Amino acid sequence: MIRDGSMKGEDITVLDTMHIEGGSLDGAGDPENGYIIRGGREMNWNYDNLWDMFQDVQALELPEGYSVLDEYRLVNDNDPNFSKARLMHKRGQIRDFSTLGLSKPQQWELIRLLLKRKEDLDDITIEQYFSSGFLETNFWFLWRSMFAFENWQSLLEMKLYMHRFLDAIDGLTDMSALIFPKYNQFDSFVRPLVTHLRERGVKIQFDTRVHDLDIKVDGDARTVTAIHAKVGGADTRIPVGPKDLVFALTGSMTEGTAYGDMDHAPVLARGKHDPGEASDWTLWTNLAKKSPIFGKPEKFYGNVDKSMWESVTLTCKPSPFVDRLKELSVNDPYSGKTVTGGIITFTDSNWVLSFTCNRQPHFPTQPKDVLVVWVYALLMDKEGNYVKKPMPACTGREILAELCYHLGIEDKLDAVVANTKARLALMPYITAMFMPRAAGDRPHPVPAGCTNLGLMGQFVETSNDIIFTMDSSVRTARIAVYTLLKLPKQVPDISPTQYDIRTILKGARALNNNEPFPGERLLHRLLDKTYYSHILPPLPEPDATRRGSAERELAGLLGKGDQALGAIIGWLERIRESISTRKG
Amino acid sequence: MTDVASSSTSPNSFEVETDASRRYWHNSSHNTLPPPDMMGAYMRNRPVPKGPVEARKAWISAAASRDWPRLST
Repeated sequence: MIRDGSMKGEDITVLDTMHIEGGSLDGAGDPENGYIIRGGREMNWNYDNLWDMFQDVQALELPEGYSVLDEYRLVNDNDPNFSKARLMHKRGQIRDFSTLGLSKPQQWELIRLLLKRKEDLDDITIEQYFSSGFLETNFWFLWRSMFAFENWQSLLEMKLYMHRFLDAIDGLTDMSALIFPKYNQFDSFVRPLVTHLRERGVKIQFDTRVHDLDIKVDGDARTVTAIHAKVGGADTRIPVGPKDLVFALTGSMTEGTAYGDMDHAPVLARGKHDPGEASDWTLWTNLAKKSPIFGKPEKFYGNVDKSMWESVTLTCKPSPFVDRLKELSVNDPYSGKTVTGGIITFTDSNWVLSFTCNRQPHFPTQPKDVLVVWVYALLMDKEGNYVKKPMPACTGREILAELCYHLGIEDKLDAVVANTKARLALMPYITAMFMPRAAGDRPHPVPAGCTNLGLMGQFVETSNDIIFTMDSSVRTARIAVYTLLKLPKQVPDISPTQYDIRTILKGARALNNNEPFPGERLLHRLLDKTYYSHILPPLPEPDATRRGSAERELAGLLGKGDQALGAIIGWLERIRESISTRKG
Repeated sequence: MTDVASSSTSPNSFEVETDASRRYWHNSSHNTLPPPDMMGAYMRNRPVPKGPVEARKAWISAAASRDWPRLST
């Protein structure tokens, strides 16, 4: 609104339920009481909306003129991210994660999903589509733990993720496709952005929960005339003029978070099927009662058992856990460089437990001898392998025990507990945005006919983008702002890398467990001596044997003895010769 | 406040003029930079200089035509 819409910051007020900015992008605590981050950010280069915004936001720790994007590049350009222990099992052993581990039929399951039309996937779940064997592959453990997909969630959303991150498939195993912020999400993004906004006069009003809007309907036009909110618990009506604008979040992933610590398990306050009136789902629920253009919020909040998981933040002094962490890290955890390079997932964990240590310090004020580690799990209804309870019933001490068991250091648990603080966050709606959905379940950023209402965040419809990224959050807000301000400016569709033949080729190689995919050797025979030779992944066999390998590949494709075989090979060889022969 | 100059550890062999046709590009543990022909907001960063520039001068030699006719207004 300020940069592209020329609005004055002083005319903009943020109404925030909480007492601190940032919403789900949180990060707080201290070494004495323990730090807490409910989640973390894994990002990539083509978060185009996010970087478009943060290129104009001053970095707090760099001289004037340097942006958050500049800081991000300064950190990541000089510190590659990768993992050497992405998957583990058998109580402390690194599981081979060098390939995606997909059989040919399982590869086809993925390719068929890519080919399917979006419109044909309404309300279908991942486990309804994929074979049971697929859901045990390296690929699925890498995918589900990295993006937090549950087997019972939306196949359509998984497909959109495949397209959005097709350029990252060859960096999925070791997480080399990822980049990470300098600090936690609050200090890296929220603090600079809030500073930027306050300097421009934007007001932030806390303890204000918006729960309904008055909307005047005039033919097809819908215009917000008032905001209803609880301000400090008191009912308040905020008038909205016809030229004023209202931008609202529909739903919240971290709504109703229950907290725990070393000695207390979190206790949920939200109903399993109805979050109740005093919740951040109320506004969307009330909007949906007014018109079907606002979607069906109950499809997302209506089954907490299917949308919930728990995270744990560990504040660690040196202990046997830190010693084990060092062995699994690509750099010394105290070096300021990449540590685990993303999450480490235990594939034989009943909870599908993962943990990560990002660059340290993870908080600007963190003492040098302290590490902050983040833990989470996907399955909330299964007993642990060591602690015979579901994760939500566990104290921090018990979750530490389960983690130590999977690391093979449960015999050193007392020393770990003595030097570690755990803060727990059980989030009933943390994957609500992935719940199975159909067309019309989510409203558009500017629902039909709305003249001054925009909707943003994880529960709105976009053309092709995914959800649960900061990029898509910015995208939905940009679409709403540009539309309502009638700005003649395009919000670019998702990065076009999925259409790049190089992305498709290297993705096909990765899906085929880093082996040449069917037809790849023939492509090499055709292109190896041409301008386009560099678009193909190098072949594993030496040059001298490649013709024979290509012939065998073609025989395999067409069937042995096919009379076309010799003709096709001869045709390819003539093309190669004609390309490589100099004129004259 | 970060010491900007000492924070920049980009290798001296940093390739300013990228060449997407030179080699097969893929994600790997050695990559820190985007693909050589990627265009997007991520490439619109303001890089941090590796050394001070305050005492450095620059001359730009231009080959303008002295007698270029002025447009009358």
